[in-house]
Parts: sequence; C-alpha cells; structure tokens
Amino acid sequence: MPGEKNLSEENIVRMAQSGDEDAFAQLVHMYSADAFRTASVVLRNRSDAEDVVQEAFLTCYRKLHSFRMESSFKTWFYRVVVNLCYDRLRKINRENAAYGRISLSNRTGEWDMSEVEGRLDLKEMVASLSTEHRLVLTLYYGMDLGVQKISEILGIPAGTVKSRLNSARNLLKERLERGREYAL
Amino acid sequence: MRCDAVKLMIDDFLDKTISVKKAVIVEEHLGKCESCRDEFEKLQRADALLRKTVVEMVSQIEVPADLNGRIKEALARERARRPWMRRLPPVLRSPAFAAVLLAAVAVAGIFGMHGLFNRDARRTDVVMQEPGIAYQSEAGDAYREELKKSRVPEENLADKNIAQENGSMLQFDGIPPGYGEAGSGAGQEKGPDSQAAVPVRQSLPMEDEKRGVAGTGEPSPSITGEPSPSITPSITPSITEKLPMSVNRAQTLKKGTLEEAARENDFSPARPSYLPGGAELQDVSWSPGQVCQSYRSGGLHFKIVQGRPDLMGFDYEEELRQGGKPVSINGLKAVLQQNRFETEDGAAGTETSVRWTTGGWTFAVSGGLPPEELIKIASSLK
Repeated sequence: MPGEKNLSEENIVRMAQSGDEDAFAQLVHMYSADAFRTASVVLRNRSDAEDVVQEAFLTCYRKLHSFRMESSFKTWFYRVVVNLCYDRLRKINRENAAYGRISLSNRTGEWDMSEVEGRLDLKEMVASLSTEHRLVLTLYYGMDLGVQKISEILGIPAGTVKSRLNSARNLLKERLERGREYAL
Repeated sequence: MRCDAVKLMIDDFLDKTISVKKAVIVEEHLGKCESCRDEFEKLQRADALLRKTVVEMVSQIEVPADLNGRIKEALARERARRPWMRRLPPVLRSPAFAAVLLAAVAVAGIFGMHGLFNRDARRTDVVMQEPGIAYQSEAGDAYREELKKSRVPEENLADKNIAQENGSMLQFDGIPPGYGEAGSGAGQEKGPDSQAAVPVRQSLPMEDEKRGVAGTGEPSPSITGEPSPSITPSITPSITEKLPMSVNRAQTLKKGTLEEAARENDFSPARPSYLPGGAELQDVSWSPGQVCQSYRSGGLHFKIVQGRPDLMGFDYEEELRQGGKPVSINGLKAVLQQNRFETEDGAAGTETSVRWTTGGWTFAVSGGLPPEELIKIASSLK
C-alpha cells in the first residue's frame, strides 16, 4: 500500500526500471533469501524452491517496466513467488494423481485432526498443516508481514488470512489446554 | 461489553488488526473479566509458541550459498536473449501500447479476415461451456485469456509460432501473466506443460462482450489503424480465431435489469436470498437461454449464471475427473472448482466456482469469495 512503501526500495526499483542492472541486483540481494525460505516451506523441496525464486526474479525483471508501484515491490515479488509455488505444486499434483487427491481434499479443508493428533512436536504440527495454512503462518510469523500485506500477496480477503491464523492458534490452544506441552 | 463480543475481538487483537479504540475496550474488559483474560492468555501463549516455532523453522532453512550468483547468471542470460527489449522506447513497452496493438489486430481481423477464419457455430458452443471465470476487466484481459489457450488448431500453428516470437513483446509488454503462468516467462518456457497445469477457463461470452472491446485500453481508432505491419497480418488469424465471442455474441447479448431479463427470456432468473455484507448487483446481462448477474462485494466480484444445460455444458462426472470437488447445494450434487489467477500487476487471487444442474437449468456461482461464501450464496438461490 502506498503509505507503507519503503522509500529506498522505491528508489531502487525506479533505478532498476531505468535500466540500472546493479539496482536490480540489489533487489535480488534484498529478497532472495526470504523468498527461498518461503518457497521451501510451501514446496518442501530445496531445488524446486531455488528454481521458483530464480523464475520469480526473471519474471519481475521482464515485467519491471509495467510495475506501477501500486504495491511495494516486495508484495509484488512475493505474489509472483507464491503463484509460481502453486504452479509447481499443481505440476507435482498432476504428476502424481494420488497425491493430487490428497492435496485437493486438504486444500480448502479444515484441520485434519487425526493427522495432527498424536504429534507432540510443534514443528511437525505446523509442517502437517495444509499448504495454505503453512504459507500464511510463514508469511505472518516467519516473514513478519501483516495481515493486510498477506491478503494482498495471496489475493485473498484479509478475513481469510485471519481465519487461518486463528485456526492455527486455536488448534494449538486446545492442545495446550489438554495439558500436552510441546518440546521446543 | 459482553464477553462473547470481546472474545471475537481477541483474535483481531492478536492479529494486530484491531482499531485502537477497540483495543482499549478489550484491554479494559480483560482487566476485570477473569474468564476472558484466561482465554486471551491461552491464545496469546499459542500465538507466541507459533511465532517461535515458525521463526525457528524458517531460520533453519539454509539458503544456498550461490543462490544470488545463480539468479544473476539467469538474469544475464535473459538480457543476452532479449537485447531488443531494452532498445524499445518505453512507450512501446507499455501495456497500453500492447493493448492498442492487440485491439488493432483484432479489429483488422474482424473486418478483414472474418470470412476466412470464421468458426462461429463451433466456437459459440465452446464458449458457452464455461461459465464466468472472468475477473477484473483490465485491459488485455480477454487477450490474456485467449493467449493462454494452448489448444491452437493445427492450421494456426504457424501463426501461433509467430505470435509467440512476437509474444515476448505481447506477453511481457502488455499481457500479464494468467493463472498457470504466475510469470510470463515461466509460462512461456514451460509451454504446454504449465498451461495444462490449470484447467484453462474460457470466460463467459457476456463478460467478454463487455470487456472484449471496451476493455482493451480504450483504443483510439486513429492509433489502432497504425500497428506494425510486420506483426499485424501474421498474428491476425489466430487472434481472430480467438476472439469471436466479442463479435458473435454482440448481437444476442443484452444488458438491463433482472426484470427485463426475465421478460425477454420467459423465465425468472433465480435470485440469491443471501448476499455477503455490502454485496450489490452490478449488472445483468443475458443471451437467449442464459442470464448472468454480476455482483460486487467490496473489492470482490462474483457472478451468478443461470442457463440451459446445453448452453452451459456442465457435466458433473467430467468436472470431478478434472479435479473438481464434490459439494452439495441444498442436497443437489454440485462441483466446486478453484483456480489461481494473476492480474496484470501480479496480484494473485483464487477464482472459485460452484456449478450444478437442477430443474432444467444449470447454475454457476463464481468469484473471488471464499468457497463457503459462494456455497452459501448458491444455496440461497430461489
């Protein structure tokens, strides 16, 4: 959102738009690591994550001139990363039809309690959540992005972002209430 | 303030999406209500644990040491591959220019090549099969939809190839990435593979009629008459092939009120008795045997299409085979489909549709709302 724009980022983007290749390299330095981590959480595969980050930068590079600064570069870039991740997941799903069905049933689904039940390790619990939930948790807690930004990145209503955060919190709260502590 | 109201606000409080005024109310309440304070503390603890866990998980992911180096190499290859890109004056690289160019091509195609490449009869059916997956009526949207289709008839392959070569410009300069693409480069490099990743949706003709001409960046006739001659004739056939609905449906498509639609169609389109907060009917369009109601709720759009089954081409079993999810609308078998899409500036979203057939009609409710909301709207149609 315009109010939240980082001025120095904006300057760098403008320089990159005018053809300054070093400026674009600077954007790569600023965002590649976090993008790689986010993609890794979604894809659970380092090599796929690296491909996605590379593709995302190429995409932004090619389309940089049409970027109107209506959102921050970071938001735009993350959108591209997330979409490429979804593309890749779809490809994986297609290649493995059986897996695709599982993924589909989890996609919009509620928590798979039986899956989560019985797991003591909190990281495993987070890892067992649906892609969409993991993504929201990663962006919110891991990348420290706010609800509004995440809703822009994912193209979903802020209410949906919140409900994913809330359901994760509530799930954990219930587990804690049952007296099961997580070893951290 | 009542406890249940406060409990609802606790999540907002933790998400930091609460207004200062409400935060003060919540804090005051927590100060004197033990039950709410207990709930808040538990959720706060869960929140802190989640943060700690996720931060740890994320920071444990080791970033490849040469990641940036490899990205820069890829960028250098890209620059070497498309040196002409950088020589183009900015105006020629703008989406508006590409839109104008495409509009010119379409116009040339429609008037010049119509007879040669007309496939109205067949195309109409195809077009009618997929109810509205159309979204923001931005310039180039219709073209984006069309360019995404990998199923180009053989006789147009040559045109497609040329279009693709030029496509570097068409795509990068004006045609934003679509669903499967998430970046034009990706889509292009992966070719048919990536396109097949998502069921390619065609938009409802009504929508296209609305956007197809009006939504092309308001091309001015004086400019549209001046496309690059080397490009125009070569891509004209495929564009013409791909844009018939804006022409073919124009004569039959009408706009007006629901009452007019009902009168002209001899049936009363079903209306939703439930609408999400703030949702309003934006417009109604129809062609014989099919009525489309477009609603807007805040920044989100959704559509309700009611049409004769032969026009809607909905096949329950087939939809499921293509990855649709079975859902129930008032006990009727329906299919939920979700597709990611990306708009011009990279905004991503999910387009969801619910479709089913009952009583001689096929219904399609689609838009950017969460599936639950769409199902709720669908279930409320009367």
